[in-house]
Amino acid sequence: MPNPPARLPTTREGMMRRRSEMQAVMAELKNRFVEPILGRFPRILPTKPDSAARYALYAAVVWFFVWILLAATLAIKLVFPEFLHQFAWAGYGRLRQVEMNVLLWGVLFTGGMGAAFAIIPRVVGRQLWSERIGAQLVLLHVQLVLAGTVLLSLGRTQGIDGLEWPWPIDFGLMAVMLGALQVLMTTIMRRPDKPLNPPAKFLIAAFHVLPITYAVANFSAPFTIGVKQTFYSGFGSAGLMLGLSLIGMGATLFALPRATGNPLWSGQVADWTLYLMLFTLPWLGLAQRVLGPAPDWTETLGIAMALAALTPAVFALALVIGTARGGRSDDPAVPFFIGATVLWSAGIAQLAIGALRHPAGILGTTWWNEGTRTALQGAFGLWLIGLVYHLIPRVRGRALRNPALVRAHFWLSVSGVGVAWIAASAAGLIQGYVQSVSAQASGTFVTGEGWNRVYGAVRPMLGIRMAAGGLIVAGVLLFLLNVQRSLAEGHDVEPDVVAPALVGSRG
Amino acid sequence: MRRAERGALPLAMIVGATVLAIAGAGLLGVVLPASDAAVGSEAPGDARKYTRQQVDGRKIYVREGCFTCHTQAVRDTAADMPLGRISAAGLYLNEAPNLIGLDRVGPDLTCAGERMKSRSTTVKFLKRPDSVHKGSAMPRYGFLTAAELNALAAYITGLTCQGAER
Repeated sequence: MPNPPARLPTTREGMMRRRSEMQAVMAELKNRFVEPILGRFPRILPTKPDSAARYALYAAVVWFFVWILLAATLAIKLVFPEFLHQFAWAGYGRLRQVEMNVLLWGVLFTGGMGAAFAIIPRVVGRQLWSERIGAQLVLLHVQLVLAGTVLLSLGRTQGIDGLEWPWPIDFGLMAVMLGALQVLMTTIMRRPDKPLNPPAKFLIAAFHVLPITYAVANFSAPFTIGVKQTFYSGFGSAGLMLGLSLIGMGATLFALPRATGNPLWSGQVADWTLYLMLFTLPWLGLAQRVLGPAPDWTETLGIAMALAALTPAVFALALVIGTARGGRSDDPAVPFFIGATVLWSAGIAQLAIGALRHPAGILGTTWWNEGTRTALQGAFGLWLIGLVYHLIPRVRGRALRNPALVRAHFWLSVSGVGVAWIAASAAGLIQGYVQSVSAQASGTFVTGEGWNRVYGAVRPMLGIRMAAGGLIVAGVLLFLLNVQRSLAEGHDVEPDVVAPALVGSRG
Repeated sequence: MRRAERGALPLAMIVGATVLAIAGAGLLGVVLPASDAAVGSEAPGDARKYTRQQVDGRKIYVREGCFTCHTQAVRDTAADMPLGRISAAGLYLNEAPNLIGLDRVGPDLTCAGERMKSRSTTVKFLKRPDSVHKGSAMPRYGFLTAAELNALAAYITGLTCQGAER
């Protein structure tokens, strides 16, 4: 029987074959010529699993220490204005911008990168696409934040609330965010199973939200004038808050089921929380300037969205408490995740209250705003600390040296952040009340020498806030000591690299 | 298969929803308000005009981060009545950055020039605030040069409410 004629390859098959051949040639060239060079720098171009995550988490811890020093200096300067008054770089206005940006970008975004680089490989069951690129992104990011800090200290600011970094830093940060997105997305695309776990969904959303909102705000606001600028800067601030919130929730939904041994309370509630956060939080910039010079309809929109944002806050609380309830309690990181979520929800509620027109008439532009920021940033900080405690044994293979110190750190942090939050919010209530009473009487408190009466009224609260900062500093010192000793002396445990997360539903 | 895994949405859905949410907020919460005539060239109120020295002073105001403690917007609320006329969007038409600010650690400065008329007293205040207002919490700016102090004082004393009403 004659053999059937050989089928000619189709164009697509030919292309695929040529592509495979080309890839084989490239791999051969890479192994022969590029790898020997790159391999000479194992520290800055690492290939071991979790290298990029470790670099980012270490960098976040170091920035955390720097931030604590800056925040403590500012708290002291508020109560004692003469402190370091002779140095231009230590002026309150310059230092305030440095402190805020070190917290947001040095501590929280760096920690967020570490979280994503550690969590995504574990929940999708694939190693990070490129540890080398991830580590390089972390190193670049650290240098950018350092350069930005120096430039802001030298007075090189854009002067726009929330968008203070000089523009070269903005370009660098955009490159880092897009690079991180590329690394994470390529890792996710290579996953063996199609469904995505809730932590992965939150992190994917976060790393899309951050570069988009940052680009829109930072590359538009400097080219706009007047009130228009506030819409762009508000969008940038809200986008950053949303991105960090998504990272925090993603980290919680990853760690909590593992730490407690419980499955996630409800995958559907997790999905709804994600979508509600995405569709309500980007609008909160409009809610920050109620009764200002912007058109009334924009304020109404902001107020409506601030109220709508209460829904994901309640969902997040239910999700975290439902998952943690009745679970194991041997992982000392669990209280940090619960405390962070409670504080975050409270911060969203406080923002909504402050946005309503009547309260805004009294509380707007007062210390109430700082109280809201303290709650939200405190939540981000607790999420990050919980994640570091949870991940150290897993990415480093070293057990935490002293769980009792972790518990002490938790109580110091929660009481420090809690007291600072209440003190700042109370200062806002006092300031608003004094200003309103003054307006109805003689109106002499809100200007010039009369302002000292306002300052005098809130000063005790600022003193309490400074003392609360002392508790936070003490906690951070315990944190650094425990982390350093755990890395150096903690007994070996089995690190988990790409084990799938415990995800399911009780229902 | 567990419910959460069975109901998981594919990657494209997550990315699509994220982009849709951000695009919607950007379009309706940023682009639309920014194109409103009420904040454009037809905005009520007159834009501020500055001399060269005041422009230099404004740069120092930005450089030193004064906007982190002082707002420049009289709000439409009873508590702000003693500050002067309510600030309208037109006031900021020449302002980039706009320096409206969010927090009042110190008093609002929208109409500061109507309270601080003397430039020399303002310079003295900037160098040593408690020598002018006893018990002031404002930090000293004695590290500024004489020219910088003069420019900053010119800017602050030039901030008036003229044309600010809406």
